[in-house]
Amino acid sequence: MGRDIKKKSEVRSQESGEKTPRTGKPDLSVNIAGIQLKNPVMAASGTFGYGEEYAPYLDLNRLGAVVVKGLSLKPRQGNPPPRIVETAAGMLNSIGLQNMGVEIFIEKKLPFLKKFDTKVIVNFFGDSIDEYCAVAKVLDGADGIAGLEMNISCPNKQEGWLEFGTNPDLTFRVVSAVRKSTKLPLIVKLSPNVTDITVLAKAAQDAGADVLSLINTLSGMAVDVNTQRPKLGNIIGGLSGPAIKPVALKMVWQVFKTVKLPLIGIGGIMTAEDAIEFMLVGASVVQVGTVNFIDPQASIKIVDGIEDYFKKNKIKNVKEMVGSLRI
Amino acid sequence: MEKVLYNEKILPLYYKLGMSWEGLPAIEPGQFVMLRITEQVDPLLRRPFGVYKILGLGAGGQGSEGSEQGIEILYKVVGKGTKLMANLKPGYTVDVLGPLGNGFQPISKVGSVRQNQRIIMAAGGIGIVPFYLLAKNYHLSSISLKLLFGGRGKDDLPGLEDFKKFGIDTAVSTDDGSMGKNGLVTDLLKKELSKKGDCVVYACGPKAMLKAVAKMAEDADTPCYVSLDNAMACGIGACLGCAVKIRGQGSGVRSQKSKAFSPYKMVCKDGPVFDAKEIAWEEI
Repeated sequence: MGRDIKKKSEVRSQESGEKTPRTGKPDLSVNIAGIQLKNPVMAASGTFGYGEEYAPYLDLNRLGAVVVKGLSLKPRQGNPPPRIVETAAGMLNSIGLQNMGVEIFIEKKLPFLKKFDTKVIVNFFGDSIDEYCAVAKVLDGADGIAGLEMNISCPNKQEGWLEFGTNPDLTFRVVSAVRKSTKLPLIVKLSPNVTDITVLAKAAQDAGADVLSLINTLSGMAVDVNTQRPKLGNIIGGLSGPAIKPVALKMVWQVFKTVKLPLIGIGGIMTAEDAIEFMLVGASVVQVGTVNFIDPQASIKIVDGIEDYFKKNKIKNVKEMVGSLRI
Repeated sequence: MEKVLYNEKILPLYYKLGMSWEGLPAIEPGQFVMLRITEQVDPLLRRPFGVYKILGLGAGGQGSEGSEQGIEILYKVVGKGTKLMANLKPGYTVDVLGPLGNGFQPISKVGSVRQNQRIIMAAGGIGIVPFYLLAKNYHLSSISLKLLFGGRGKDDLPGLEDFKKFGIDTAVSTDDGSMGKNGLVTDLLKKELSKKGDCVVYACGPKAMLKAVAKMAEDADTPCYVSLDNAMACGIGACLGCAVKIRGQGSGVRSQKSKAFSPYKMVCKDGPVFDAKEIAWEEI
C-alpha cells in the first residue's frame, strides 16, 4: 500500500539518471496527475483571492499554479467579524468560506485568470455530498481549469454536522462521489484535525483521489482577557503561518510513507528553505499561503530560492528531491 | 525597503515616524499603508497605518515638509507591533505597501453640499490621522474647516499643534476635562450641526464614537463619511478578514437564496472610508 522508502529512492535515482538534462539549469517543472506545472510552487486557496487581487503586485505567469478561493454552489456570506487575529508566529482566521459561488466565478473571475501562463486550480467545498458533486460538475464543464482541489474540512449538514475530513468513511464516500462527477485531476485537501491523518489519506486514495494536499489550518482559538470574550466572532478558527510548519512537515512525512499519490505540502511556508523541507519529506509541490499577506511577492521569491538551492546542491529536477530525506 | 528618517515620541503613547519613499505615489487623505518593520515571524502580519503627512515634494506637487520624499506615520503604541515600532531608529529599514484603500470623498463630490460649504472633521484620539492631509487640501480654499478633536485626556490629542499651525478652527474635548471642554467629541458636534448652512462631516476614531457621530449626522440630514479601522491581514482585498457589515442586506444568517452576494464589505478595499449610511451600526 505505502511506499517502501528505500526502494523508492533507488527507483528515483535510476529515473533521474536517465533524464539528466545536459544543461546546467535545474528543471523545476513537475507533473502531478497530468497537471504540468512549470515549477512546484502554488498560491494556496484562501490566501490569494481569485488571483486578480495579486496581479498588480507580482507576475502571475511565474507561478506553478494559482489555487483560487474555495467555491460553493451558491454564494456564501461568511462569518461575522472579527474574522482575523494574529497569534504567536501565526494567524487565526474564521472567514467562514465567504465566496461568490461557482457560477459567478466562472463568469466573472475565470476569464481574467485564463490570460496568464499559469495553471488554475479551483478549490471547492459543499455541505453535503450532493453539493460537492454539483460544484464539481459545474467546474468540469468550464474551460481553463487544470484541476480541482476538494476542501473536505466542512461539516456534513445532512449527517449530524460531522466534518467530512475527520471521518474515513465520510471521506471515502464524498471523494468517491466527486470522483464520478468530474474528469479533471482531483486533489483532496486533508484536515490536520484528526487522530491519524494517514487513515484519512488512505481513504481519499482508495476513493480515487489523484493528489493529496496537506495540511489545511489547525483548529484553534484566542481569548481577550480585557473583554473576557473570544477574539474571533466565530469563537474558533483555523491557525496558519509559520507556527504550524512542524506539524505540517510531520504529517506530510507520515502520509508520504503511507500512500502512493503525489503530495502537495502546505503549512507555514515563508521561504524557499521551508519549501525544500516539505519536498524532502515527500511533497512534490508546495502551496504558499499566509506569507502572501505579508509579502505579495513571496511565492516568486520561493521559486527563485528553490532554483538557487537546486543549482547549489546540483539537483537536476524536482523528482530527485521528493522524499529524499536522509534517515 | 524604505528608510526610517526619524521616530519621535510626541506624547507618552504617541510617536511620529518619518520614512523615505522613493517615487512616492499620490496619496489621498484617508488612504493607508501596510507596514512591516521586521523580518521576524512574530509579529507576523503587516499593520495598517493611515498616512499623516507627505514629506518632500510628493506626486502632483503634494506636500512640502522636509526635503526627502516620504511619508510620516502618526501612531499610538497599543500592542506588540507598535511597541517594536517605537524602537525604530533613523536608518533602519521598513517595508511599506500602499497607498491602499479609498480616502475621503472630495467635497465637490458630496452631492447635497451647496452653499456655505463647511467641512467638520470629527476626530477621536489617534483618529486624527487622516485629517492632516485633508486639512492641507482645503485650508487655503473657500471651504471653511472645523476640527472637533476629542480624547481621554490632554495626552490623547496627538498632532493638535500641527492643526494650530495651519490656523484651523479647532474645538477640543476631553473625557477628564484636562483640556478643552469636559465631555465627548459628540457634544462638540451637536453644537456644530445646529449651526446654519450645509456641511459635511468626516469622522475617524473609536467605533463607539463613529457610531454616535453617524447617528447625529443622519438625524441632522447631513452627509457623513467615516474612516474605519479593523484587523486585516493583506490590505488588498484578498484575505476577507476585515469585513464590516453593511446595512439592509439580510440578517447575517447564511441565506443561500439571497441574491446579494454579501452583506459584508472589506475595510481595506471598499473603505477604509465609507458613507456612514452604508454601515450596519447596530452590529458594531
